[in-house]
Amino acid sequence: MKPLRDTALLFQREFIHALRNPTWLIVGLMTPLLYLALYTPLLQKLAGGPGFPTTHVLDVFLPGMLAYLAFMNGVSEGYQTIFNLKDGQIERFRVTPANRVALLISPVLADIAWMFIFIIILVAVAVPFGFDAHITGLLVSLILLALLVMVTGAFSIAIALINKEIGSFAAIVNGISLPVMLLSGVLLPLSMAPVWMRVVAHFNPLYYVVEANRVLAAGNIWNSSVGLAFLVTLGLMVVTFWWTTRVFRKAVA
Amino acid sequence: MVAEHGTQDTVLKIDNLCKSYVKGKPVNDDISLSLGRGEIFGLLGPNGAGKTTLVSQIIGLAKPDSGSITIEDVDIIVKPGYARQACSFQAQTQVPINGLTAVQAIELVGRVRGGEAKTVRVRAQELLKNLEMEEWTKKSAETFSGGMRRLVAFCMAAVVPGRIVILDEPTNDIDPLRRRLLWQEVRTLVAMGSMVLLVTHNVLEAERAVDRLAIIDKGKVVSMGTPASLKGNGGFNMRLELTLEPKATIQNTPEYIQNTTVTGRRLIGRLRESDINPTIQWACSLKEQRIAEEYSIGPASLEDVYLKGVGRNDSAEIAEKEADHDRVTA
Repeated sequence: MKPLRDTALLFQREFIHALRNPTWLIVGLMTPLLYLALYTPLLQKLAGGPGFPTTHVLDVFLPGMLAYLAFMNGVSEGYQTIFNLKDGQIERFRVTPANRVALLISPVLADIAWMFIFIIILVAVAVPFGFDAHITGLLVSLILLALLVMVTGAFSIAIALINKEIGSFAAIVNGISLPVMLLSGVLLPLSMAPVWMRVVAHFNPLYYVVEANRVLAAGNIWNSSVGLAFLVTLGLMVVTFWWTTRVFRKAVA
Repeated sequence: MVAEHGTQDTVLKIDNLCKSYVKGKPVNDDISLSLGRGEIFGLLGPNGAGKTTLVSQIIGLAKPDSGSITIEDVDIIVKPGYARQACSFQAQTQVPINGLTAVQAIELVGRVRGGEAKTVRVRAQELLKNLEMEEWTKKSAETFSGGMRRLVAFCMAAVVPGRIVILDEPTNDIDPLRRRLLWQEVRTLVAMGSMVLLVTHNVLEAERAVDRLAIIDKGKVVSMGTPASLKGNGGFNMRLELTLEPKATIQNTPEYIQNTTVTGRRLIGRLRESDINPTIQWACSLKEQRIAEEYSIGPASLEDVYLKGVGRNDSAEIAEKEADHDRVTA
């Protein structure tokens, strides 16, 4: 009971804390909105062309964008961890009997909750512009993206706890994010890419989530790529949580 | 150092505790303390004496090199989780509560410490009312002064108090009125069954607040007891302070004046109450001979005990500074 109770209490604190810092929320929402507004027109002429799966660009671009949003939400988690380390927040909770897993997971859960809200807004904005929304597919997509935030969030927190410095942490996050994004087909489907890129992409977990998300957006929840994405993400979640819990317990003994 | 307190009511027991961060430079050197239920115990010492390191080990943030710490007979080096439940702690550093109101911050810690929502809410309101902070209850912490933040931090430690409440410099930045209210709340915590460990270098405040105290210097306990017993010093519980004329010296002091120290132009000694009259006569004669400029006799203070225990270098420095000052003004 205590882990659940503590998780609920700390989740509430993190969620409210974000509400009191609206700049983060506005910037967090504006980035994908700007991508939609400024990048989608660039893709218009590619629609229906060779390698482009469907005729409407938003059906391809928005699901990829949502996967990217989840990925960035997760990998940015460590920034807050470092701020919390610096201003004594983690030290403060170290001396309380708060459940350690609850301390680790509650900021990630708050982030997932905010991401859900962002996704609903983005989909609501995209529908009038021609995005074909399938509710069941979207719901399954939300679960998959939540798992992705868990994986990347836990990984990011571990890196932050080991580094403890914002400069080196930012360098690592940026260094990882760019190749992962380009090799996942977020901006353009990898079906348009050369063979070597498509081969390398199979070593990128985000690639599987992006592929599955596009299938899910079309309402096809029983597709094998969906199963594969869940398998990859759940597998990674076991590994990252095992590692992050060890790092966290050492830092927050 | 042998622990003084050792009754069945012992809550916190520390035996032969040693801790060093650099080999050969102990921060805590063979510390033994035994603290009982219902007492306010002061831990006094200058900066760098090893107080915070000692507290860190009690609450399980650091592990000792040797020795033991038990809370209610539970070895908390093996079970630090027990210490976190048994101790509530107000750190010396300001508490990070930005993004929350005072009442939210207090209630959150109360709930995490296992309190029921309704009980915690009532207790939080009670604390804020008793500390005359009602108008701040629902204001965001960003608008708080340093003193307000410290009061909120105190409430966070007191809302669901542990069997041991550790307060590290709780009255820093707090106005005199609320200081008084805070000490009343500390007494209430004791009445509720907690033991309070007060960490401070404010000797005057500690003298009024604590039941017993230990003075720590360079990682060691240099003296321990009640304020009265430490000040009493075998019946020598009065203090003489003589200010000498510039360049005057005193060759001999009467035998009933003990523990005499001369720092610059100031002579300080201890005497029994029964020797006040001859001391006054002696001091008056020094004034007549233009050896002494003025004198005063009063009850000994804990500050004297404290400075004697930890301030050897300070006294020498003060003497040097005063001598310098005399040379400049001559």
